[in-house]
Amino acid sequence: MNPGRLLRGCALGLLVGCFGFGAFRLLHRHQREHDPNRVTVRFAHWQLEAGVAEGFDRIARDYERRHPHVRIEQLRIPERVFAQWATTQLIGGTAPDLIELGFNIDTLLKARHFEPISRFIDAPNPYNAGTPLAGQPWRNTFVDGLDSGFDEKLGDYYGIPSFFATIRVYCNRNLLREITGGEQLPGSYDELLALCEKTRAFAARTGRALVPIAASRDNAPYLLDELFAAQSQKLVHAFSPLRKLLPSQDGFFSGYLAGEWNFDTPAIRSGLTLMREVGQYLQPGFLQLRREDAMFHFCQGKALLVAAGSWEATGLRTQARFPLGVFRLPVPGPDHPRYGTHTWGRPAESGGRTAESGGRRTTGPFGLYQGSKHPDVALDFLRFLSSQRAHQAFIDRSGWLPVVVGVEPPESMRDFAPDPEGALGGLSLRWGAEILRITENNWHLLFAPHGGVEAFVAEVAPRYREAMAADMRRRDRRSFQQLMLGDSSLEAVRQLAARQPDDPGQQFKLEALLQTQNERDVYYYYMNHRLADIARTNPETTR
Amino acid sequence: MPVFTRSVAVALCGLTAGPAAGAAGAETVAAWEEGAQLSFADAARHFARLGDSREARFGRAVMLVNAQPKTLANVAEGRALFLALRRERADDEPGIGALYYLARIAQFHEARPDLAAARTSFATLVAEHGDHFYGQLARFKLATLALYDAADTRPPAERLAAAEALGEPLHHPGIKRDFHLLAAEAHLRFHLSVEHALRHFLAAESGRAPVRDVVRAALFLQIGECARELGRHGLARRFYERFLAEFPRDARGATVRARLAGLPREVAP
Repeated sequence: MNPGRLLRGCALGLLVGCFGFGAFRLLHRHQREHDPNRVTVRFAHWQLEAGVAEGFDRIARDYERRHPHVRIEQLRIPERVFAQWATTQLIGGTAPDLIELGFNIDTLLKARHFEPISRFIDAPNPYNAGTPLAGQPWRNTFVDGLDSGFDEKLGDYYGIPSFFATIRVYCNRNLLREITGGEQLPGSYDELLALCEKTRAFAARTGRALVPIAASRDNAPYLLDELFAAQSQKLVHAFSPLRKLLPSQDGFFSGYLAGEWNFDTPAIRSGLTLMREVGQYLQPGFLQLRREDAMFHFCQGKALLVAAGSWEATGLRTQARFPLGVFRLPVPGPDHPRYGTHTWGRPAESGGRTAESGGRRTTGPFGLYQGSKHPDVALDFLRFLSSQRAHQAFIDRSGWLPVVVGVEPPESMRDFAPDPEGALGGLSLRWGAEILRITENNWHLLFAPHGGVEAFVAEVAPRYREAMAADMRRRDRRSFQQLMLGDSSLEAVRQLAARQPDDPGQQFKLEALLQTQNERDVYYYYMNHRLADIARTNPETTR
Repeated sequence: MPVFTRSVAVALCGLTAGPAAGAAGAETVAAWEEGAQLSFADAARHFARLGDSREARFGRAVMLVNAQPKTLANVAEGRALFLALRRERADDEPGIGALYYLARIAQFHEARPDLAAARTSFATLVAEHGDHFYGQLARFKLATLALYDAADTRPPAERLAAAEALGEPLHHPGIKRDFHLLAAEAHLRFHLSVEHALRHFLAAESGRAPVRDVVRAALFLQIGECARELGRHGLARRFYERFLAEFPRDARGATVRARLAGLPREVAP
């Protein structure tokens, strides 16, 4: 036979085969979904990390065994396309029943496409029967009291979280032994520096391509921001007069416009010096790299350390061919000879409630799609997913940190548990879009071998004020806009609450929105007053 | 509109009125629901279809000022509807509400904010309907403007005194709570009086209005911190302990425990 014809025949055969297979799969799925005796509930997320799909799958199969008429389907959507995918599905009316909230699913999308779940969360989760959480309101079964599922702008709860996250430094124990001859992980900042120095010397001595810390633009901030923030603790709390024991971003950054701190302020210099000191040990060119590059570098044994989230642990254990050590980043304490003056020491980590106190560490919330054909079943599956027993099974499989009260992390994750001991947090230099732009465009000056704090400050300081003023204006516009919109939604909720005076859900929502709207008024006018005051005394600052 | 909520709304209206009134009521609820879900343009259209009742016109006006795309024509139409409602009758729910929203339009929705006009409308509301929800809210807004109007160059203590005088007669639990928080935080922001700040924080905490978790946690700490500074150690201890009991996983716990350990024990007289 003519080889050309044979090739064409094969190609055609392959095409027909693929088409047939696709058609069969589509038909099969169509039949399954339209099986009158079976309900299909689909849930979508972007958590492609090792162990997660298996964890969710295990819960889904358990649920199906309890409810034979229900089929649970898991959709794993890559992070890079999740935002576009979710928006298209929501607007097209073809979204799955449950979707992980995040990325670009903002308040507006939530309001239009997701079902508020506030009225369900005060009732006990029936799947907690027989556990210590039996009879507890569903909301109280989460370590954060469901703070993470609440949308302040809508005054309603929309999400049920699925995991908790902390940041840790991972260590290649084989390399550690080779370099130091021991197993000891660094317990102080100076020990960390010494280890990085030894690693560098080891690499030079052996000729091995090895760096102390694998890093990228995504995960270097886990180290560098925390170091800077620790140096800014005392300074930023001086700009927080409200005594909430929280740093006030607006107070601190508007303080710059008022001339109350600048790049010559010792704490700022000290923070930048510290960042540069550690930055010297990061993978060269890290500002151009992404998360995957850093993780790959570490897994290949080309770096001793990497800073990453607890969600990476299972994947790293699977991919790395060496035992892992894990520790919290040691920051200089108040007794440190060079960096002790400005710090109270390592900040405490929030274990959940409240949202303001240490960032939203409970995450991965699933929202209920308004267009779901089976909202009651989807909600029931959500209850099952977040019940103590099912969550324990999920955590055991995924190796993630639990978000349900009483669920124990696996032994391998003990070192990731939030550390409640420590000082109040500080702030990093990251803030609005303009400040972010000028700092990120110039980090290379801070970290380059021939750069340094002076070079970075010389470039950033002259443009910082203008960037700050632009960011302040942007925040002002945003809070103005939220204030305007808030009136109409508050009125609507007030009218609905008046019709249902005995519905605690409506009354709670009204109270929450009223409080939020009054806070917005106060914030908007206070910031305007503060900026006008600054402009009066420093006319060049708020152009 | 959420499917669950809509079914509940329809069922409620059907149960509490006759079939025709029930259907109309359900549609009104549905329009308000759209507003609650930030679909202001849909809600405005929905209210327009509901005819000429005062509630329908009021609802349409409330939604129009925020309907997207936001246009001055929509704002003007909203203002005209509110003015008409006021002219027809000024002392029923839509009539009183209309004056409140006319003030808000002057504050935020006009091409140039007119704070003087807003103040006048708020003051009329306070004078004529001081006990009504909108009258109470107007008092709070006037207090906020007295305190933080950017054009006001009076010393902070004078502005705060004016705001406090406006806010003290408030009795709506939620609005009163927010006024006390406003006043307390102003005392601290302007470094005026920790003692007065504490008094306001305690009033906000002891009111009947529920407080969101984030605010309650902060409030416990604010009371604890102010009381500690003023040497009221028993009070500080009580609120630090409440904070630790209610928010055991909060990252500020270690600092609060250290504060507690540093408090001298108060000896009973």
